[in-house]
Amino acid sequence: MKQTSVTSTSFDTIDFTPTVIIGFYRKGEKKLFIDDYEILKKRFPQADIIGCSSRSNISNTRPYIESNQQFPCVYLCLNMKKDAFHFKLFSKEDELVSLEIKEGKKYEAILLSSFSSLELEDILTKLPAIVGTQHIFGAVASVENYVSSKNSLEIFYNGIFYEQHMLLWIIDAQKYTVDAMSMHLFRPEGQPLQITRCKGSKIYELDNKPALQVLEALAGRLDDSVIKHFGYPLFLQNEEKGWESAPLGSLLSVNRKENTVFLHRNIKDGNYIKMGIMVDRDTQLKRLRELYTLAPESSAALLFFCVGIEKNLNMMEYLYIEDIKRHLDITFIGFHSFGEIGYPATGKVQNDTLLHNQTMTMILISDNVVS
Amino acid sequence: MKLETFQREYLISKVREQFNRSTEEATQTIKELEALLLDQDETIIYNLQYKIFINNNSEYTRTLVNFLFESFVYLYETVKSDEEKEVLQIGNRKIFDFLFIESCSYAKQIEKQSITAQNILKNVSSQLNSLLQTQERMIANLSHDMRTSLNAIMGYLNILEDNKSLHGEEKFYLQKAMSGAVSLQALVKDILDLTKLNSGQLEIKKEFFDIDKMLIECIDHIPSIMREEQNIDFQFHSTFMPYRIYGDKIHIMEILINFLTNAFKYTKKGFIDLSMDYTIDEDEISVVFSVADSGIGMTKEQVDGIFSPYSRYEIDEKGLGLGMYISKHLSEKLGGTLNVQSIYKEGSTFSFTYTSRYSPKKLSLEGKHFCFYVEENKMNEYVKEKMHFLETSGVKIKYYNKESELINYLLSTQEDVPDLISIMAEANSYTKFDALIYYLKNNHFFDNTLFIAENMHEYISLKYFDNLYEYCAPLSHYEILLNDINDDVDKVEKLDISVLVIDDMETNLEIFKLFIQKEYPHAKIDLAGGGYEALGMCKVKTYDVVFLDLKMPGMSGFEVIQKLKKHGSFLMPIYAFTADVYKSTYEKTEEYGFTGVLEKPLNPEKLYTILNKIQKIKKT
Repeated sequence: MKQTSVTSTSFDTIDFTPTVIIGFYRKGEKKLFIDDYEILKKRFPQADIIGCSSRSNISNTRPYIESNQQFPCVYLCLNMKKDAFHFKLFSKEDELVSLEIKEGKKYEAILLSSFSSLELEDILTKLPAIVGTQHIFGAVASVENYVSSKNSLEIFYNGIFYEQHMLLWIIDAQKYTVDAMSMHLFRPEGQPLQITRCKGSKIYELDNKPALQVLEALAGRLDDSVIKHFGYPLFLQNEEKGWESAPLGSLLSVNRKENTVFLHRNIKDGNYIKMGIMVDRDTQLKRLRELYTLAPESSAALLFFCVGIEKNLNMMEYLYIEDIKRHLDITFIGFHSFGEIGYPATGKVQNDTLLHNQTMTMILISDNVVS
Repeated sequence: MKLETFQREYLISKVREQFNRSTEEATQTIKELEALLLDQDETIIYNLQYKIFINNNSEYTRTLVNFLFESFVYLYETVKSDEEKEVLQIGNRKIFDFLFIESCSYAKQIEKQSITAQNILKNVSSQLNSLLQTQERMIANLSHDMRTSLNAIMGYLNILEDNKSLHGEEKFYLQKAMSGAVSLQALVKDILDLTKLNSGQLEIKKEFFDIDKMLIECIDHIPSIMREEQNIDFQFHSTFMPYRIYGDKIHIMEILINFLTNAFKYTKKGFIDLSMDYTIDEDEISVVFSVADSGIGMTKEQVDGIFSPYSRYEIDEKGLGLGMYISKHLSEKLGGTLNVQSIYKEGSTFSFTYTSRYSPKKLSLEGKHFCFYVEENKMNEYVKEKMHFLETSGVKIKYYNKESELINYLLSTQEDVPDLISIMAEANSYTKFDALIYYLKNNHFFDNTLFIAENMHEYISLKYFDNLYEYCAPLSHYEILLNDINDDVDKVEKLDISVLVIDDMETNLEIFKLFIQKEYPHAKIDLAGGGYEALGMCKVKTYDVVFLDLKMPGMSGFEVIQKLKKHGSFLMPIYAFTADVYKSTYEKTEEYGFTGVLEKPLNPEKLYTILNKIQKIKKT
């Protein structure tokens, strides 16, 4: 499978005919993206062009992450066999009934979503049975300003922008291998605290006491500058156990008058949380390098790094990508997402495809060597 | 702009010196520095930052920063034109901005996060401690209740057995009940040990002790009914050890008793062999204890899982199988190693290796006179070394290996009478010597001599020997026996002690009284069912010793002792009688001024040791 990553200014370097082009565009650069689409479509009319809006992008060239708005749009071009993949755009679970899934055939799937909600999590639990694979990875689109534009996340499919939709990219597993892992920088600490009252993504009560009061009794006063950098993520779990594979939710803000905390994702009454503590550098690298074990030769990669990672690590984030770059000879693009879908790198068993926050999720696409 | 040769050479020498690099490597580094400072090549900055990140070593970072700074200063001072100086300044600013300003702002944020992490860890740790305390309290209560009930069961069963009033079928039932109670007691002990281990409450108390004595005590813990099993040949082999070792005797014993109990439990015929050997390496002694058996053995899978909790339960449900799990953890706590080798259906060997400090054994037997009769087939290296050691400790040894010579000596000697005569003979000879001792004592010969039978290997009913030992008597026993013989002179005076027992459970009081009366028939025993009653009794009477239950309704044992002390009864020895075996309880009793602790279920031997001590104090 030929592959290359390009930006708006380097289309000339594409020296093969791609069949799929994945593009991430900063929401403020939508016009540039439409112009790019026109150019690409004209040059490669057979190619499916998909993508989603982003807060900022990740490119294959240094400094990899946007420090100065240098990658308004990034593209990954692949020349996959046309009959080895197809797309399904849907907004509700029941639309998945018409999915073109052949019995006895194995698939891999990548999902791009323009919303992050409990509904998405619900769909994620059902998708493996519908598509017939546990290999479902992906990300939630993002925009520059989280609060004001929460409902304007977009996905893009062959010339049209969609809000409140999901795009499922179904790939023939006999021809291509897709693998991924979601790695974060934290470990859960303390006794589980039960969410006894919440609405949407706001937690009012933990263990029947005001939520912020409970958290601060445990952690001391939560520093506003750290909150701003998403430095206090919470682990979320349906039960009191299984914390090693629990996904994280970024803590976005606190309301001291209400004694409430506001997360990046929706939660449910009865769920449990634990506070996260950052692990040391060696453990972080060890977790990151677990991703490398998944990568076959000449993989192309999509990097979905949470906005929480971007905020938390700031310019240090590029060092983690530098490490990936040095260890894996791969072509990649990515963006800072509002949610990542993958296996938790800290989980013992790789069978739960979960919606995460605060992860570095790397999706690797490569030829299936067996075929 | 390029570096001058002298500048390049100077910087190369600096790199070689500060980073311990070869000339080739240093030259390459300086090329990169040149590109970095003079051409502002960002790739090199990225590489440097990555190196710092991966090394994650503050020393390396500091050296690198110093080097960059010194290089900049050196170059700034040595370049000639203002233009070159400006290039240098721009390059320098870029490096420091990129490399360090970013890192510093990140470090500041990380610092705040780590303060939060510390708070969380501190609070979690205090929550865990409080959980442990609750757990400890729960176990203390559980332990108290279980041990209190066991106290009643074991106490009454012992009394029934001592009375010898049961016969035939009834006696059989009694033995069954005793065996059940002993198992229950062992189980309660295992569960408590396990909980103590898990909650970090197990206390290791190290002291110097004698291994020979400890091994005999271990064997004595195995019920004689098990050891005398017809189809099993139980052997005990030990190397003579003229040293004392430093360690926690009770917990080492626990491991060995567990080895032995398992061996007897899973061996139906053949042999069980307990052995001890040691090696010395300068200041340390390494002792290996082994128990080998010809029992059912284990498969490889069973051996692999033997140290996990409930392992035996998984195999055949005979007990909970906590013993080996506890032994393994105890061994780790003691700093020793456990090893197991087993062949399925052929047998197993469990060994425990313990390394510690040691001190030479010292005996206060100088000038004593011992006579040993050792039949030829009973003579071995252990006995030889033991006699030699006694000799070097100042004991005069007379040794016979022929029966006729010993009898001749016993019948003819008038002077230089031995303090102790030890006989190691064949089973049938002991009976003969027993009759001879009867004759000698009846005629007041050897009145002040102790006769002991050693190395008997089996139980023989002998009436006139002063002490019987299935194996060789531990050296320290010679001292104890000889001291006791002097004490026995005043035996008649021994019995006049007054005891107060305070417990809210009538059964405990009754058992206490029965046990004391059995050994001290003339003792004056008062019983109090609670704290207030006891305080009243202490106001009108002085006791030689008080046994005080700690957990009583109304007024606890701790409150009682406080009040007794307030009222001037502080001189009276007061022992805590408790089923709470927790470390904190022991610490609290010390704090409140208890003389000691007597655990429930009541162990008569321990009770008598206390009463003997009280008796001695009273005499002096």
